[in-house]
Amino acid sequence: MRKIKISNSQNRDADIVYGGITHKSKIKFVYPDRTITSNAKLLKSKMGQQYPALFKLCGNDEALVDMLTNENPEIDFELTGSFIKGGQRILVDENMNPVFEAIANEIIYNPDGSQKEIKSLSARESNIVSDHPIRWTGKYLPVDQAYNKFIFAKKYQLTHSNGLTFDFLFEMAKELSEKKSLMMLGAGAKGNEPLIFQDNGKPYRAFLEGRIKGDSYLLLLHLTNLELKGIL
Amino acid sequence: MPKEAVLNFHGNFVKTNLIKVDRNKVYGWSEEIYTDKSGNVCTWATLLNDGVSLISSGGTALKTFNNLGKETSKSDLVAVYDNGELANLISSVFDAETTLSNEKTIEDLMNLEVKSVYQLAILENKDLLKTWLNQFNVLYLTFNYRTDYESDDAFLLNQGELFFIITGVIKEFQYASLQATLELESDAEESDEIDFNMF
Repeated sequence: MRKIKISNSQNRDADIVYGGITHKSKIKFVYPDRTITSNAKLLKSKMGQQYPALFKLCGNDEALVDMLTNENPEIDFELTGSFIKGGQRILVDENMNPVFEAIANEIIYNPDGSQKEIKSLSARESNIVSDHPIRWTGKYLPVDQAYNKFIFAKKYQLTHSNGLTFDFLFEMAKELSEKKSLMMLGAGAKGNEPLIFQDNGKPYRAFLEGRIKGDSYLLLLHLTNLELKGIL
Repeated sequence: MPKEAVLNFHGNFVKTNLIKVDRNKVYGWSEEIYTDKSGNVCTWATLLNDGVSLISSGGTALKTFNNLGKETSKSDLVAVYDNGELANLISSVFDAETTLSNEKTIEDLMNLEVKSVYQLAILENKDLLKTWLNQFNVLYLTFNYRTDYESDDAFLLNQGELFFIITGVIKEFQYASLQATLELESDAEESDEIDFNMF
């Protein structure tokens, strides 16, 4: 489980664990006699054996056809078909050499596909465990008004790891449950920035929901990066 | 011509087209471009663990094997449930009437991890649908864009004259008590280790 540093309505903060629930498919594909199968990733062709590289080598399609007919440049008889596990993403130039110093830019497009701007790509650091705890913005949003305003694409559950954090979280859940409202959360020094859960991850607006059942609680962090808007 | 879906609630029908609401269509999108010192565009590749082999998009294949390690065709397999029973195909929302239910609430919608959003272009009985939603806020349905062995959970809701279907999976969250702490899973949102889109 991962940690988030979060404060309550009184600006008292604590390191809290959070996580999600993975949906497991109820369906599996097996042989008719119910023998199970396994999946694996195999190498088809290395970069140097794919069309762009072979085209560059030959100069034109006719020469490439001749090469494919007379030789087997698209197959590495040692490696093709071998199992692949792991690996590391790297940037390469047009000659397939690793690039160690790359300049990163971000092109922003409008909804109609036109280019809006090009800007230098800046690194986005995770901000959920920092000197500035995730804060309550003070903006309550009643649940019965929020459900059709935002698309809450991801959910994380906050939970306690000891008695102290139980009290901390239970009170939070109780407060929100009594108000039947979500609380918008913010990150950063001013507590108004979207939450970034890991370095270079997507920024999300986050809303906290609390529910109470007897002596137990449920605290859900709803993440959204999309308002529900008509497109027709 | 867009396909039509027919939604049935207590014997009354609403006919509609579904248009996918894509974040890109609402806000636009961005693309990351990397160049080398000379200004030439670079591409991402995966360096395999041998430290030498580079692979790019389309360079790998996902294959299925039997218990002897022999490759098998997907068409030789059957879909079964956990108990071993043959799974039934569930029709696409466009191929059969879909029944709406008022048994689930806004709280269930709040437990939904969203996969897709569709806006409805209602062809028949828009007022009827509005009446239902004024009464119940949300209506539940099971949703398959294509015929499949599993269906998604989905909710029909409105914003005034705009109607939407939100699909996904309703998560069964457990309440936490002092006696029982929860074991939650940490899902890495975006792994930097491997770009699985490449595969």
